[in-house]
Amino acid sequence: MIFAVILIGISSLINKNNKLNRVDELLTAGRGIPFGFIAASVFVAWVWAGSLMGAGEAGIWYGVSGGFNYAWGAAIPFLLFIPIALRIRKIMPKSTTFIEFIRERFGTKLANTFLVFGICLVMYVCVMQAVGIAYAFEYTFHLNFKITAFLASLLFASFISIAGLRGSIYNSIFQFFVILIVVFITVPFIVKELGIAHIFEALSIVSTDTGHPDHNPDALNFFNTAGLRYGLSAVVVAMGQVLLSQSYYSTAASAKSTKSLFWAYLIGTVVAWMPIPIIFGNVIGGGFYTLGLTSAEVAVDTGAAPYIFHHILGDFGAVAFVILILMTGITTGGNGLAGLQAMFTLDLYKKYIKKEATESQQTTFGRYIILLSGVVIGIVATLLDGVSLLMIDIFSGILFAAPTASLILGLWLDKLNTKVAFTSIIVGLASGLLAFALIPDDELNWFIGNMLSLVLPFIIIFLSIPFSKKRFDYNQLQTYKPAHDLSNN
Amino acid sequence: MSFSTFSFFYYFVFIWGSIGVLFIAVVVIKEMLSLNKKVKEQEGQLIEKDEAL
Repeated sequence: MIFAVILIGISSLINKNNKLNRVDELLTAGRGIPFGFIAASVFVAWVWAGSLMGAGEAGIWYGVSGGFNYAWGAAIPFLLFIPIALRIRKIMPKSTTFIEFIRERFGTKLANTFLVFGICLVMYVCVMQAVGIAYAFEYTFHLNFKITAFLASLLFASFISIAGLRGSIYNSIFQFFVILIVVFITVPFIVKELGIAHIFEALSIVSTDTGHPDHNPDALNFFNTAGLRYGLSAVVVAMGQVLLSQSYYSTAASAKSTKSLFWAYLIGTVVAWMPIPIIFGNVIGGGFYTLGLTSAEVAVDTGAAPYIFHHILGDFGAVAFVILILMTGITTGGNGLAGLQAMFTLDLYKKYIKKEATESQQTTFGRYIILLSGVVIGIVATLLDGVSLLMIDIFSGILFAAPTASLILGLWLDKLNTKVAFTSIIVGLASGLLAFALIPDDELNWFIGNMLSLVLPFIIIFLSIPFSKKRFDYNQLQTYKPAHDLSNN
Repeated sequence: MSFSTFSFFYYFVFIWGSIGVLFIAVVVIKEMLSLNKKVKEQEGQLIEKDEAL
């Protein structure tokens, strides 16, 4: 309740002090946000239940390499996003959404395909946040999963509805400091209580004792095959989650300058964010075995993190962990919804529903559609009680990786045409899903499905280039003018 | 993996993370103070304009 009041208060203040009935102000915060704010916002957007509880789960499944594989797997798409954001800013400086680029580059049909993927991705990410928050409250305070999931969705939908992207960024600054304090105070205490020597001993037993219920001979092997497979899948999973998430493009568009965009994204994601899942993979994975826990005691491995916080640090640890998950879930969910607001407003409402809509009408629509999205997200989240966050995350890679090849290559390869781009998406998605459904080996089906979904589209596109004659003229994107006024011409 | 490598890895990642987030924290605080200063300067200029009128 206290955090809800603080968040709604912040968003109302932002709404009062800024011209949020202007589309560009609502969706890109006026395109003048400084470096530090962007870096903090991006860092916080990528610290979510997956980075904490999912990485912890990876530490349990893969030992010492789990968190590390999660981290580098997600970092690669971030590194890739930086030149993509810079390229879009250079060739199409007046764009806001990546859908605008796809529409101008490939046409309406593909733009609408990407719009569907983009909307589904954001809804999925927000559902995951609500699920993560609900798990944390359920395991710690034994609150009802469904009610918590629904209320959390409404909370982050409400503050984005009121304050837009600027609200998301300013709120991220507040959450950044809360997350910093919680992680860098509680985690050293937990490691001190467990003892690094005991963690090492526990992992040694898991790796050598064949009678151990969770025996894993590679628990102390940093470069084991299963962990590497997981890392490669993490690349695929994160690829779709980063490149199809409008919120990262909106945040990039809000940057004051190209230089601040570059450094903010590099430092916020790779330098500051990467250690977080590694730390949680180590501490939660190691803590799980040090405490002698098994899957019988912790119903879903996703619940290991709140269990360990509570067990080691008592009620203080339980509250700290719940605050952490609530903060991370709200910022990531809110950030995602800010991107969704941009897509719904510019790529759906203005394009198809009301072409002569004024800026005020567009922003009003943007606000209401986000509230409605919050309700839908809440309802879907209530259906996922008892499902592993990590398994959902891995499956999402198959769904969202296929379009990334045509988006990335469409920015640089002028010979890539719409037909090939569309075909690559269909073939990638279909082959990934078929592999997942038909391969009987549960250790391999998700991995091969993810790899096919990401890699096959790239192969199809590269093979088609020699046969393609027509070249796209990127210069025409320079003169692209959106329907609304921009803040920083 | 030896214990010394294992414990080095633990400490190294923690120090890496601390430096990264502390750097961002310092920059954000500086930017917030700078924004605050700009707002006060603008308010001062507006008050001067009002008084001149």
